[in-house]
Amino acid sequence: MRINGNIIDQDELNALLLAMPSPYDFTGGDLTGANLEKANLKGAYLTSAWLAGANLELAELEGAYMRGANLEKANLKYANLLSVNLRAAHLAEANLQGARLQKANLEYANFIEANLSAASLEGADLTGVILKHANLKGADLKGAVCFGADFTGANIKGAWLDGANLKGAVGLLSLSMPGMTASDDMLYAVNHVSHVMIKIGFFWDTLEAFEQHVLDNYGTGKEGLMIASVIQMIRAWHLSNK
Amino acid sequence: MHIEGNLITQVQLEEIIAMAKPCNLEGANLKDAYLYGANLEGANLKGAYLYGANLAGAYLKDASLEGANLKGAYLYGANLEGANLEGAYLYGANLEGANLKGAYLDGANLKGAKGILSLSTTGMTASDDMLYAVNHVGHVMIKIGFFWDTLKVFEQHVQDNYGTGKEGTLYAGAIQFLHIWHQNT
Repeated sequence: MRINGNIIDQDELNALLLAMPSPYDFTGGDLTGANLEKANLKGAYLTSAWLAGANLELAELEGAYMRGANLEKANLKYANLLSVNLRAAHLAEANLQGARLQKANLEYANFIEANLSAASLEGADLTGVILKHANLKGADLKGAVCFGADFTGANIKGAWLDGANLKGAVGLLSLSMPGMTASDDMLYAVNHVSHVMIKIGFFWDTLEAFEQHVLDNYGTGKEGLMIASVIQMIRAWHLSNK
Repeated sequence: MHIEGNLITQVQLEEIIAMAKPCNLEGANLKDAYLYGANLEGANLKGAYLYGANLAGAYLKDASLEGANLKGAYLYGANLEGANLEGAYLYGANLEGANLKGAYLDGANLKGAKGILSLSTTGMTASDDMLYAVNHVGHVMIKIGFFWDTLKVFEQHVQDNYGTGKEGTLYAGAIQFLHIWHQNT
């Protein structure tokens, strides 16, 4: 690790955290692999900091400035990232399970293969975010702005997307259509390399499994006909995305 | 009903609407209010609680309804031309016959909304506009970007502009299910 040009070890970092006034300023610092579990980094200046592989589990990062920070493969499980600025940050393969990211600025951040399961992203700005193959299982995206966000290959099983602004979202199709199901669930389709995954209510499976499910449950009735035409459109969408 | 913490009656609400043009009802609690055919042009209804309100035929041109709670509201035939509904909650609201020309609906929660269908997907227009379809008596109205016209005109517009290309195929699929949706609702 390197802070202000000085190479430091974990013990020296711990001593520094005790000695430095809060909020900490580690702008551009190299904290690769640092153990910052449960650290109080509220409002810290971590712009362009190197935190790849760092342990930030349960860390307090509310309002921290982390623009352009490298958090690749970092552990951010259950971290408090409320209103954090992670614009253009690198979070590929980072673990953000259960992290609180409400109202965070995540514009153009890279979350490729990141684990965002059960994370709260309510009201966050996800403009241009790369969520390719990310795990968003059970994540809450209510009110999130997802313009240009790339959901290709993402897992959105059980995720809350109703009320998210999905205009211009890539690899994701959303459809609200009264009368399609008894509980008026919205339908979401996610483009994967060779197939399409469908989310509707508690259902999360391939388009083929969905088609079978519709045939088994709705046959050629009113809903069956409506959903069959939707399936046809999703196929055209999948082909046009190839 | 409450406006800025003060309890108001239906009559007082009507007086407020009649006096102030445009009226400021930001954050007001107008649960179950009877606003049938009311003139609310340019009204500020940001964050207003309009749960179950009857806004059938209301004139809401250029009204601000950002973040308003319109759960179960009756907006049949309402004129929402140019209205801003960003982030509005419309669960169970009825928008049949509504005029949405130039209205801003992106980010509105339309789950369970009646008489309206929304489709977001990239690749349909250059600016990735969302498509909205509104059920009217005898026809469907389509809103996509600046376009606001019948499904029939939309179909012609697609044929003229996209043919059988990538977008054309996608549109053809969407048009097909829009017809089926209209026939079945």
